[in-house]
Amino acid sequence: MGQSNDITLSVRNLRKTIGRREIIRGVEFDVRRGEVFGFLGPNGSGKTTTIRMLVGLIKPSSGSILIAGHDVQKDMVKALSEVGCIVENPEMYPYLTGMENLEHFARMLPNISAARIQACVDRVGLTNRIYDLVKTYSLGMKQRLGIAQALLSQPSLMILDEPTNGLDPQGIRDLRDFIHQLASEGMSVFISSHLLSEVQLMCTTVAILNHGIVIKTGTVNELVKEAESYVVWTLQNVNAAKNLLISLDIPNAPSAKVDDTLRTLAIQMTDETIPTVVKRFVEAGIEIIGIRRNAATLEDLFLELTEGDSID
Amino acid sequence: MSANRLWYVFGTLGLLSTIFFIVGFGLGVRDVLFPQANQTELAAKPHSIEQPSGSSDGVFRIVAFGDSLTKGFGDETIKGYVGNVKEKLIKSTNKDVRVNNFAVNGYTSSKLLSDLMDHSGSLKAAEGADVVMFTIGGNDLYRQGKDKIDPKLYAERSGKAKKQLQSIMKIFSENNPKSLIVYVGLYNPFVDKNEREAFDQAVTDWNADAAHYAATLPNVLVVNVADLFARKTNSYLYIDQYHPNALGYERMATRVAQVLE
Amino acid sequence: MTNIYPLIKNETIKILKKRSFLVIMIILAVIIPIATYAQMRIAENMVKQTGTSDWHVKVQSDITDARARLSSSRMPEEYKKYVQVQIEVKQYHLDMDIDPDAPTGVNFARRFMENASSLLLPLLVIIVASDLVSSENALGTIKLLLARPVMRWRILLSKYVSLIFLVSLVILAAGILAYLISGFVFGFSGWTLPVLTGFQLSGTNVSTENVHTVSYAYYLWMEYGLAWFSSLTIATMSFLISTLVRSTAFSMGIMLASTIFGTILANMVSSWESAKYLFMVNSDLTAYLAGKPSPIDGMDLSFSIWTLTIWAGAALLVAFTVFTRKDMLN
Repeated sequence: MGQSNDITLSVRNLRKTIGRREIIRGVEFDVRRGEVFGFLGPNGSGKTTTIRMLVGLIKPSSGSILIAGHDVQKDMVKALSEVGCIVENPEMYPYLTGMENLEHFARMLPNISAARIQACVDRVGLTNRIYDLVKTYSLGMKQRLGIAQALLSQPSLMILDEPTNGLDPQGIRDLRDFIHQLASEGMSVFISSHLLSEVQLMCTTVAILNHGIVIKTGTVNELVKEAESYVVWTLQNVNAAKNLLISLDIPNAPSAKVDDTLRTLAIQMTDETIPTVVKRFVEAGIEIIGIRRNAATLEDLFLELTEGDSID
Repeated sequence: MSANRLWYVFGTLGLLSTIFFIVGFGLGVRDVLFPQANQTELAAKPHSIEQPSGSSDGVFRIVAFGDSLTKGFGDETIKGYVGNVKEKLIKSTNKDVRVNNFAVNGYTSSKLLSDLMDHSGSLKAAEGADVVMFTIGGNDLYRQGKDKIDPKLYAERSGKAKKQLQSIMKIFSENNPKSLIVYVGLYNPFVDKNEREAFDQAVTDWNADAAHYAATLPNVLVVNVADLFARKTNSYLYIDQYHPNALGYERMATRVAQVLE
Repeated sequence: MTNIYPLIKNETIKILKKRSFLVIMIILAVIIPIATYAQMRIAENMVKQTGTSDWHVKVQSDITDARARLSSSRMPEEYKKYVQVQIEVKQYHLDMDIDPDAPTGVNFARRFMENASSLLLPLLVIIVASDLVSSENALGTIKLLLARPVMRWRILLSKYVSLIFLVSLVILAAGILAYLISGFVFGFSGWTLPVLTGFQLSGTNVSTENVHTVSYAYYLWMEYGLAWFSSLTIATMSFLISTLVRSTAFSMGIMLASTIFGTILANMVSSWESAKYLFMVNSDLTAYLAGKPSPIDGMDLSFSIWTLTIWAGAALLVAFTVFTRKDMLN
């Protein structure tokens, strides 16, 4: 693979069966160098399980995970040397100070100097409180300590699981800036979230996971554009209209969404096809009450794709 | 303490103590599985911390040996004659009287003698006592519940037992030259006329022999209690019609206490 | 590749910084003075009753009392055996003119370990061992710990090594505290006094053929070494349970229950012979050194050591297998 130098994390055909249920069913994606990668999915879609497989906490049933070219299964030590992570909440030892926690995790890595630890502390802005016990920390401080810990080894991949959980708006903004800064230094950042608005602002690329499979991958811009390309028709007889579109072989017609009560029909459609369709509807006697371009965001796409599975 | 200091102190200590205990474990296993006697050394070593042996000031110490009579079997108040003597002495002398009662139910003269000869510990325990009291012989002459009444049998048995009683007296006398040794003699517990007559000779003979030998030793006294049980015998006996009851012990004690005062 | 030293350092620091180590020290610091006081009262009572502080008198009284109890027909046969052996051993001490209980801090340390090794010490060790892995689960730190570029078996091994250190430290502390605290009452001398060991038991017969004297110092070394070994096996069992269950309370509960159950068992079911294969029945190794009869016929020191070793070995095997393969699901 010629481009492999550029790919920090490569997941291929990842599967996991727990008990008799296959909960991850062939997940695939790539994370490139310097990319902020959003990993989206409703609760229960398999995000957490996937992330735990990335960092070696769960063994995949099949499939491969390559981090900077090293297989997590076969070469766990080398692969994980390239990873800094916070899995779920930033849990540290509450009975140790922030510094003792960092020293603890630094000892599990080769050759981390005291200066390196201090640099990480300074970077996340914990210099003043680093010698306090972690049990006295606020959630935001714990989050920062978690990031400092993840930065210790100067990883090429940073994995953050739901990093905005419990942060206040200012904290979220700081985190966002911080992540962009990391990415600009060439680090790949992998963020899982069920909060679309966050991902939309932070990430450059997004993968959407549902029922254990990636149902959509693309850059945020592409996906948003796709979401916007829906045209919502308000019509007298929506079902007749859908049948007509199908018989006319209009692209995407079979997947058009029909809402009887609102009398709307939503369909992915280019601008060019709209006049033709208008003409056909009029010819067929279907009264058009309104046409509008869907101004929605990634959220609509997400809802669309996950078929209204709960998001909060 | 800082985490690093903590580690250097306790890590080192932990490692050293681990090695220490592993070796100790090995030595312990060896000692239990392959013990090596070193009895020649046993005698040579200093054996215990020096303690003031004997009675402390103002304390009157009684050490008692022997059989169920000294143990106080049959006494509902659990004092026996020894306990009664103690009480009487406290009353009459105002001293702090302490008792070590080493008597064992069913002891015979041969058992007591072998204790004293084989195990010097019993004698060590008697050292420094003001009084050594003992009863013995009853179980030699007559085994309660097992024997038939037979004067010949008593005579036959008493010969050896008398010798052993003498040895016991001698040992006590020599071991405790400064103590008073008190031997409390036998009595006849039988109420039935035939039985009583059959046993009387043996008891009288026994007590006389004991007194006779005691006279040859400087510090041994024999207290005769046979007469105390000669009349109204039943009212001084326990329900087994053999051992004294509380009243019987009390009367024995009165006599012993008179000797000691 | 990181070597194991910094990992052991990590785990040791964590144990020491956690409250459990402090709790153990506090428990010891409370129990030992109470035991010392009790011992002191016993000695005082002894003097009051017998009128002398001469140990011969006390031992002779003990023997007499034991003989009296033996003659009671209601005493169970098994206990009779125990008393019989006690009499023999005490009698031998008298004969050799060696005080079985010299009133010194050293002897207190010896008797303390003799009594603590069957129950108290295992309980203390369980306090530390049972939350070694499960506390990481409960805190959620296990996820960070195992997402490090370190093989899982190394992490578990480092935890086990630091557990060994800790068991040693607890026993060391128990010995030092017992000696120092009781020393204030009973005096600090007596390290060179003789102790009789090597009583060999077969049924009610006590063979004194191989009895010999060792100094108190040497005896304590052996006794604490044996106690260390049995504590370590208990710790290993707790360690296993700790890797299997998520809750520290649960893993502590399991171990406490089985250890206490074992002590009860050892006192009760001498007739149920198969019970001798249970690890908790074998945990009192110091009893063999002290010449006490084993709780169940057919047990001796090598049997107990083998039983404990097999249990601990199996526990380690299971712990490592489970821990290195387990999916961290929550």
